[in-house]
Amino acid sequence: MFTDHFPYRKINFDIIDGVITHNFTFFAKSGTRYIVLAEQYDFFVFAVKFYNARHKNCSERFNRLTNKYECSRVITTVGHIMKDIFNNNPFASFAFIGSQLKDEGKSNTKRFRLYSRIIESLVAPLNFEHRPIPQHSAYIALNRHNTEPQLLEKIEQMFQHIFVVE
Amino acid sequence: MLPLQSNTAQFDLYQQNGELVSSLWAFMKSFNRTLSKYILLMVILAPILCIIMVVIGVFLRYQERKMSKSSKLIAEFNDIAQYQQFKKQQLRILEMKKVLMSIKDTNASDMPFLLRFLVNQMKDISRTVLSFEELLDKKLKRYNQPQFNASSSAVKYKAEKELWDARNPAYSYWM
Repeated sequence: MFTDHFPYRKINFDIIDGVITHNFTFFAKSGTRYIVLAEQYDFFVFAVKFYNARHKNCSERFNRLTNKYECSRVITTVGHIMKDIFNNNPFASFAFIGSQLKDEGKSNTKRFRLYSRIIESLVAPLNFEHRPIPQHSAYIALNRHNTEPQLLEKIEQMFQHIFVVE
Repeated sequence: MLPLQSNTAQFDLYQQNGELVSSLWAFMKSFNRTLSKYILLMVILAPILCIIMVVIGVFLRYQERKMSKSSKLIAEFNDIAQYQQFKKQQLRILEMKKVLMSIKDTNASDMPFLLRFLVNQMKDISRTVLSFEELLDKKLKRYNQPQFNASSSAVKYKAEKELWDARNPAYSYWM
């Protein structure tokens, strides 16, 4: 588990409001196509998101479930994309939000609990400092090699527009 | 930095000696408890036991010196594979910590005269292995303290120890 991934490829990248979005895609065993977005912010922070390509135009594309039962390999593929980004940029840090299900609150969501458990088990503390934010179902894996002063505080400020960190 | 390969031997040395001392300690305790009931047998066996204990004591002294010489070769880890190996070896030494602490805290003058030399050697080995364990712990200190300060209390921190204890060892690290 969490070793085999689907073959993926990078499609392109977009620049919107100064944020570079790297777009990746892969096909799962069921034939479902997934799109992975790695939004590159300042200080080499990459916010990773993914969704079923069929839900591309849906406003709730990050919240919807596919019910294809291939979650572990899909997450492993996203993990390997993150690994690729890290290999290309040794100062890369990662952030993600575990979006809520239909009848769920915004804090400590089911997805957040799952993703953070996986990240804690599969991303070694050697290169990354683990910073979960259960209140907002967010997680930051800070690159230890990034010597930017007050890095975490700057990242917190930067993400104020995404979620209010109290 | 030293590659881990050269430090594996160092870990093995500390681990083997720690295990030797812990098992010797358990053996001595049970042996003492059993033979104290048979004083006559003890008197007959005393010369043989004396020779055996001196031989073991000299061997332990030799091992202790060997460890002291290598104590500066502290293990380094530069990648995840080395880190995992380091942790596994550290845990093996940690398993013996309780026994080694009790050996270290034993007062040799309270022991029977014949055992004092041997107990002193065992105490020395325990002390050296325990100080090595402290060095290993210091090596991980960097990962057990927050490197980056958060301005909000909502941002939690997960220490290396916490992550290691919670992780499933069946999964290999991605990065």
